Parts: sequence; C-alpha cells; structure tokens
Amino acid sequence: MVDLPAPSEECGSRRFSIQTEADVMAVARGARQLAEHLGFSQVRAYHLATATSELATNLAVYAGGGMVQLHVIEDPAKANRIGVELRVEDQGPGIPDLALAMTEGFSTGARLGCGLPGASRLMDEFSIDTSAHQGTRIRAVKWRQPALLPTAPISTEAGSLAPTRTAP
Amino acid sequence: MTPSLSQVLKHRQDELLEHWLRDLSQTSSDGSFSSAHPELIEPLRELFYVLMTQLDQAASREISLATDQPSRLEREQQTALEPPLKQLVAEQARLQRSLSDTLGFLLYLKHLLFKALFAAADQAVEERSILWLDHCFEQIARQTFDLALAQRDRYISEQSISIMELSTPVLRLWHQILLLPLVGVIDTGRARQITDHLLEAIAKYEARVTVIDLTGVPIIDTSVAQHIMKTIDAARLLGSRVVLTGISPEGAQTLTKLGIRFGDVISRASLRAGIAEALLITGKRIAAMEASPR
Repeated sequence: MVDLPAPSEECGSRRFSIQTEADVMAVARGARQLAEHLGFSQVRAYHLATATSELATNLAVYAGGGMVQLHVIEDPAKANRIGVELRVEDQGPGIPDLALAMTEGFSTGARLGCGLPGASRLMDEFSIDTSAHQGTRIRAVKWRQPALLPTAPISTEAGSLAPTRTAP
Repeated sequence: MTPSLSQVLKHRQDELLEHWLRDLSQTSSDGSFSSAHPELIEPLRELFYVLMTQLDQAASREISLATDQPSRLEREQQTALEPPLKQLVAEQARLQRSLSDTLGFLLYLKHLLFKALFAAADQAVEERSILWLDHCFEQIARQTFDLALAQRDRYISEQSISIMELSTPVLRLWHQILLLPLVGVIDTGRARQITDHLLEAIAKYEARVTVIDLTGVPIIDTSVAQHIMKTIDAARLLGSRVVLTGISPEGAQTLTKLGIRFGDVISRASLRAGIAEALLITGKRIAAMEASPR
C-alpha cells in the first residue's frame, strides 16, 4: 500500500471557468494532474479526466458557459479513502428531459449522445439537478480506489470495469 | 487656464527632452526602470513631441476637471498618443523588456514635468494644473497598459495559429500510404483543418491507406471521437482506408465505458503494427535483405 498523500490546501480545490471549447482542455488536464498527484491509477485518472472533459464540453456547447470545480475529498465513512469531487454548474437553459438526456445515443445537437450517460458511468458517484431556466448542477465523485464489492472482491483495475461480474 | 504649465512646456521643452532621454539611458536610482535600449530613443523622442503638443493644446484651452465630462479632449489625446505609444510598447516587447519599465519611463517624465513646473512657478502652482497633469499621466499609463495587453493577446493568437498549422502534418509514408500523427487538443476548428489537410493529401497522392496515430492526443472523449469518426468517413469517401493506432490501454477502456464504437475501423495498438497493416493492405511487406552471395 502506498502512502496516502494528505490532501493539502493548495491542491485541495481548483475552479475553472468554461466559456468556449478552448477552455475545456485546461480543466481536463487539471483533473488528470490532480488525480495522478493523489496517486490514482492511470486508468482511473483517465476516467476522471474524460468525464470532466465531457461535462465541460457540455457547458461550452449547450449551456453557454459555466463553472467547473475540483475538490479533494475524504470519504466520511471510510478513513484513508480519498477522491476527487467534480462540481459543474451553469446558468444555462437547463435540461428539458433529463431521462432522455441520460439515454444512450440521444443528442439534441447532432452529437454522439454518450456524453452525459458516459460521464456518469466513468464516475463512481453522479447526481444531477436541473430545472428549466435555472441552470444545471452536477456533482460527481471519483474515488482513488474502486469500491470493493462484498460479493465479488475485486482488487484489480480491470475488475472495477465490470463490477457486476461474479468472482471466479 | 494654466499659464504656468503652458509656459514651462513651451520654454523648457528641449531641455526637458534631453534630460529625460539622458536619464533613461541609465537604470534609475530608485529602480523604477532599467535603462532604455538605444533603439528606443527615437520612439521615445517621437512620443515626447506628440505628448507635448497634446499637453500644450490642452493647457491653452479652458480645462475642465469635472469627471462627469469624459471630455472630447481626452479622447483626442488618446487618439493622438496611440501611434507613438503603440510603437513604444511594440519595441519594448521586441527587445523583451518588461511593461513596468515602459511605465517607468513615462512616469519619470511626469516626475520631470512636475519638477520643472514647481521650479518655474514664482508663486504657488495652481492646484488645478497639478491635478490635471496627474490625471493626464494616469490616462497615459492606463492606455499603455491596455496597448501592451492587446499586443500580447495578438501575439498569443498568432502563436496558437502557427502551432495549429505546425501540428497537423500529413506525411507520405510510402506509395499510396499516408500517416497523420495527431498531437494535442482536437477541437472543432482543428478537426476541420485536419480533415481538410488529409483529404487534400489523399486526393493528391491517391492514397489507399491512411494511418491515423493518436499517441499524442491526451484525452479521447466523445467529441474528439466524433471528430475522428467524421475524418475517417470523409477519407473513406475518397477511397482511402483508415488504420487507427496509438490508443492507450486506459484510453481504450474509457472509450468502451463511454459507449463509443469505432465500428469497422481497423485499429492497432502501436504505430508499428499500424504501418505493417497498411503495407499489407497495399500488398507490400518489409523483408530482410537477402544474404549477399559470396
């Protein structure tokens, strides 16, 4: 087990303003650096960075800009479990039909339509709050280690990709 | 009216200029600026004359300090000062000197003007002219700052355009085989440019295979994937097959988790395998040379 770096103040929280597509890369890079700094595995850091990039792109394309915040958090239930909390906020038009937007392959904007559902799959926790004309708020968390499922104790990174698989 | 200011400006103009330029050739004793480069003398001289003309004109007219009157005079002054200030800022940037030096030069001139003003005035200097001169230089400092920032912005956007052009080369790997190494961020603008370059090259070289290498793309998310798919579709319409290479293991895992399918695109882990595949498609292979008969 590697030593856990204590979440320090200076790397504990970062804010990014997203206005155009050009701003997306900075926040994705920031997320990846933060995750790697905290000792995330490459795959999990990549997941976090990609989900951040998806949500930030949504801000630039659909919401007319917004704010992305990255926080280092500790699991209140478990000691020594740290993760990165991603908060995405905009004052945009909101998502009219959330269930539809979370559907695979649905997009209002001639895109692939896997941004929101994909991002939610890449993160360990994902909650979204949206209302018409009030904007959208998303909170998502990626923990440093994958959740250990009691029925299938999986410790490898590859295992975490299929949490429903039963133990061999 | 501020007759004393006007008089000072008129009578001691040349003396002031010489004094100013002489002192600027050395680093100031209080460290507010470091010595001006010799190439800067001409732009500074020009700025000085424009500034003196402006001050003189303003001083000889009725000056209103009322702030609610963003005077025509100020705007005139800004317009007149813009070309020499711009030149000064550009020269300083070219010589890689700091903006604070530039501001230091200008504020030092204010200092000299004040000194001359106080020395010349028999009685107490009119408060209004002090305030007014101070206000003038505030305007100039602000304008200089804005010009320097605008200059830097322009520089950055020019640079990013050249980086963009540098980073989308389409290489001819072999007869009918092209290589497109993608490096860096792929946004909508760049994706369009990449596609343009590639299609042009495919048509020019009658390429049958294009190897697109993604090793240098830091993150492949849905929008990047979509751009690449569109590029692939367009290449196919021109009769070129596409071999994707260089998707990292974590990238591959993330793409499947996102639910992105690249369909029937040939993909190889390494550029090496991709090139082998491209050669195979065109009916060629890399073989060892025959042992020379001895």
